[in-house]
Amino acid sequence: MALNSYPDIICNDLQVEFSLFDSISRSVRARMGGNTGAIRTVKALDNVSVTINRGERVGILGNNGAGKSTFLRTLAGVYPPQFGSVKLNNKITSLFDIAVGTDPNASGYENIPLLMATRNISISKLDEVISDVQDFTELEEALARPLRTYSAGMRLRIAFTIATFQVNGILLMDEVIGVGDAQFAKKSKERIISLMGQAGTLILASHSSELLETHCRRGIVFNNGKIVFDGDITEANKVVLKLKDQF
Amino acid sequence: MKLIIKDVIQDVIDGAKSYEFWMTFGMNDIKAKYRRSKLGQWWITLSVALFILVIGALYQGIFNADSKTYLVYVAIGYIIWLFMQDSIGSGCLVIAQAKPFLLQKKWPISTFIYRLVYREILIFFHHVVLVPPLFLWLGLWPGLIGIFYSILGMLLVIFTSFWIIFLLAIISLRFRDFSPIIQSLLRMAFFATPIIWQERNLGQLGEYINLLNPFGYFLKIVREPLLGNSFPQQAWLVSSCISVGLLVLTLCVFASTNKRIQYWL
Repeated sequence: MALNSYPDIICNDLQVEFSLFDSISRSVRARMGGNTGAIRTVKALDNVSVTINRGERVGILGNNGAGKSTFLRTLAGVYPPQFGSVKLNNKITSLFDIAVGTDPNASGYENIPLLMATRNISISKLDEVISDVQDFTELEEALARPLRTYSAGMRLRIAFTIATFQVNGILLMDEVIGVGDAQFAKKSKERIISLMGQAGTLILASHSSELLETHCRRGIVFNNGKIVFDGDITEANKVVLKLKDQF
Repeated sequence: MKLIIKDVIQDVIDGAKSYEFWMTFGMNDIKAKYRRSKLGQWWITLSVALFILVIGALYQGIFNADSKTYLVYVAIGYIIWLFMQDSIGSGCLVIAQAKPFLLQKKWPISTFIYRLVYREILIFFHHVVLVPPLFLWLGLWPGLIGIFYSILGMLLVIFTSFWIIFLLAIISLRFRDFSPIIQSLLRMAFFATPIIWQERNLGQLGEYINLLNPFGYFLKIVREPLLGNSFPQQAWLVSSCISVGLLVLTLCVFASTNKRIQYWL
């Protein structure tokens, strides 16, 4: 219990607000005309206070637009909070859009250093990563072909392998588990599970109640940017179902 | 304010440290453009060689210039101009285009500025290989000191380009009309900068243009020493002032927008 009570993440009264800029407020002409800029704002996170301890497996639930992704991105440091604070006591690895950094015209092999550089994996580990990609993706000679000739599933295999090569501390995931065809989905799930073992803390946003119940014990439900439930994952799934009914 | 400036300088340092990212992607930017062509990246060299030869041959008559030095004048001027034009032109969109990366994790924003500057330096090297053969062919020799001063000048051009790219990238992220404004100004600037014409060609008007056009000073500090002229003191003074001014302005603009840039993507 001593380990579990060590906080990895402390969010205090977190607020994230997006300004909606349109072509008028974004233009120089409008500014010269005395327009002050943003016209409307959207609160994506509202008064979010939560503490997540080291070793916890937390599911993030909620309907589309509830604030799940914004919450994860704020934890990852993408959005500096406008009010409140995020305190992290651990390193953080995020798996959001794993294909970022790929070049469709470059070959599978040429894409490996690009994906490594994107994910901050030192180029000195290139050989290690290449053999991991060869083993895990089973793409064989296809790796020498340009990525644009790949199917979507094949592309994800490479991206997934490199994205999951190195994970430490807190692992943030936004619907990444189970990519590709049935056989690869099984493999990737196993890899994720072993990663979760390595990761100190897991935070997983998903719409799949089954997935969340398998991997998480605690569930945090978001609605309109606010936390509406924080507790047992089974209960959290029920809360989300109720929210869906209200729609 | 002091604390914010510290954050901003830290960003520039951290960006430099992520050199593995910007070197990998800067190199790939060039490969990507020519991946399916036979000559590949040497198209960069070839197209500029063609421009220099054609313009050099066509215009020397019009401007009544000495054929040898005119060709070198156009070659060096055009190569430096291309560096400045491409940096500034692409610089406006550099943060906006980094959006997919910036939405994944916390990055030093400057990483993407380094990526562009690095790419432009690589392109510059593809151009500059034309200069030594040109000198040999024409039987000219700028002297070691001339070469040294010229390299020094180019370093200042590169240093300045980093700050102007950074500044324009932030401004045009917030004001999306800014990039088209810059693009059309650049097109005009080519004609207002002594690249194919020389100061004396335009007489009094040429002097005024040169006085007001900042590009001219940066061209001079690289080109003059190679043409065998003396060290361009005045041009160095003005371009150093512009450079420092841009540095300070960029740091201030970045400091005041640092926490909002991600929300403008």
